[in-house]
Amino acid sequence: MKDTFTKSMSWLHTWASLLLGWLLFFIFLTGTLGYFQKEITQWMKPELPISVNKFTQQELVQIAMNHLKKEAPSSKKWLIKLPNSRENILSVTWSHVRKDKATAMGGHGGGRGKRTTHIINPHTKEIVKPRRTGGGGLLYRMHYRLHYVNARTVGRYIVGIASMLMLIGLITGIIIHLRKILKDFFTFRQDRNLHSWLDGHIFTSVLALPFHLMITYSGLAFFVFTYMPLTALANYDGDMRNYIQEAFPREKAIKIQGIKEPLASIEQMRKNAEAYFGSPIKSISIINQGDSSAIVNFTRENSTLFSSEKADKVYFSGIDGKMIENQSPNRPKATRARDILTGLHRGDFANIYARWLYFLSGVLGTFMIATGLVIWTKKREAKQKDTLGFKLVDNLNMVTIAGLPIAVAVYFWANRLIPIDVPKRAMQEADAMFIAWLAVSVFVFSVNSRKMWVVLFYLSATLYALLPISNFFLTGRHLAITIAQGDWTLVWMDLMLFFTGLAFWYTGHKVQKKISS
Amino acid sequence: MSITLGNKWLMSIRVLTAVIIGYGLTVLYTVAISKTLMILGLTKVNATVSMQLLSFLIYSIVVMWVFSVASLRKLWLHITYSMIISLVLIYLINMGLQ
Repeated sequence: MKDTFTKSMSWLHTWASLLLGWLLFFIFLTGTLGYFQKEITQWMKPELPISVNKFTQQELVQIAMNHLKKEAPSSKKWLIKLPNSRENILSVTWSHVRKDKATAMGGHGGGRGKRTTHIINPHTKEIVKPRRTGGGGLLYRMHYRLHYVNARTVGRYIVGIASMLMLIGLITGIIIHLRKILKDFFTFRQDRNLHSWLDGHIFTSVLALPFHLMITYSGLAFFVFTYMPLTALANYDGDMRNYIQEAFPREKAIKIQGIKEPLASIEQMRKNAEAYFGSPIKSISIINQGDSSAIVNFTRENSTLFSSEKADKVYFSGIDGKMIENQSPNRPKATRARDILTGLHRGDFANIYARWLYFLSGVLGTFMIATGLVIWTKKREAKQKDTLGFKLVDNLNMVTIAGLPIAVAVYFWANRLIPIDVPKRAMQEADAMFIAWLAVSVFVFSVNSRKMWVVLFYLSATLYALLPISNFFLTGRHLAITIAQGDWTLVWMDLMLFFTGLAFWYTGHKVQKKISS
Repeated sequence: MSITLGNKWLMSIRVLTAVIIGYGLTVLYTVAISKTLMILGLTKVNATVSMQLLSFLIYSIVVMWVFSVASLRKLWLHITYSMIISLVLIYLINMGLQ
């Protein structure tokens, strides 16, 4: 019985994983890049001023406040984002709140007035207008809502189905290997057959298994209300609004009094907030600005894992500058459990080391999927090599595993090569990425040979390795400048791109030797 | 082996059972368990959200179970039983809670 159970689990593992394996590869790759989305965005906006971090927070807040007073004196909602260890940007945002709508302490609500954001160069105090790009954020968003499809109706469900299959793939994988998991983990058979692929698959799976389980499960937890609405509907007699209100209690809105009063000293509040957090400030929002009901809200740079926890925010009365109690309602414990899961998934709390660990775990997950997909073909190539299904899987593997990195590289190149002032520029960058991917597919399916692995890997290598070099000609933000100025985000980005190029060259070289032998 | 790979029809039935009936079962179980938790003193919102969060694990187990039962007849019998049991449980708790 046990044997047949393992066999049926093995069947499920194979087919559940294969079905959307290529999509899962896409989700894992773009999601992994998402851990450095801000760094990628910064790289994709070379017009941003360099070394903003030489200013103190006091100076930056002063510059931002002066800008807001000049540009938006009548706006009721101001937001200042300060540069931090990940983002070298000083920006201000304001919006005009509709009169009948009040805004909550945290800055929510208030109707959706027109929002304007200015990035300020603190050296010149002028507005910076970087090129329009989706940046790293676009890659990050693709991993949970795809592209070209409606995120709410289509993207979310497709990604949900893929995540469910991933979860089943993980659990069945554990069951298959349960008894021999430790033994397999320490086994590395270097012979050039199925076994070395299996070992690679098991190694990448087991090494980051807690991460794989956490990331898959917490990914599902984000949209638990979309995926499992019937449970709520049954318990709340079909009243979804009542359920949402209980599960996510909203902050109370603060009415605008209509009495004009000037703001107390922001600098004093900033100092108090900094002392309260024991760490620098990340953002400041001023709600009901210019009114006697004004409230100033600070968030800290190093957020905790419990990101919605009150420890990450502090409030001051805008009139007398005194700290006031956070009146936002407590979320129910189960909602908090979900918050912790989603917090773990996003990794906002992670410092630079934890962030790299997240990134490397994501890379391992991507490798796990890639090796799994290759194993499917390796197991069947002796018997089914000429069947249509085999060819399809084999080619799709090439298109996805070797082709998607090319598409991402093309996205970066498009960022450099599309003229600055064309309309819908950010969209065109994404279009370039998917056109490149489509071109790779057409190429792979028409050539129909395993030699394409090598071609694609070498193409990837070239595209990535040349990106840092292109900066010498296209942006002026090249390594000589960024190292001299100490802009380590850009230095690391260029180095990582070059290293990625080298890694693809090495992979191509290895595969070439394997195919020709 | 429990699954006859050769028979595509039986396999399709099993896949559909796992995906659709499995989802239905998962919903029934989460409702039944969350209602039980409410009797045990958990608030409605906590019982609902925590069972929603656990639903993905339950769904996975249900799917794996659907693929591990050897005969389809036995599988359907079990499904019918557990549906009836959860429905009766939900009904009884609803009566009790009113």
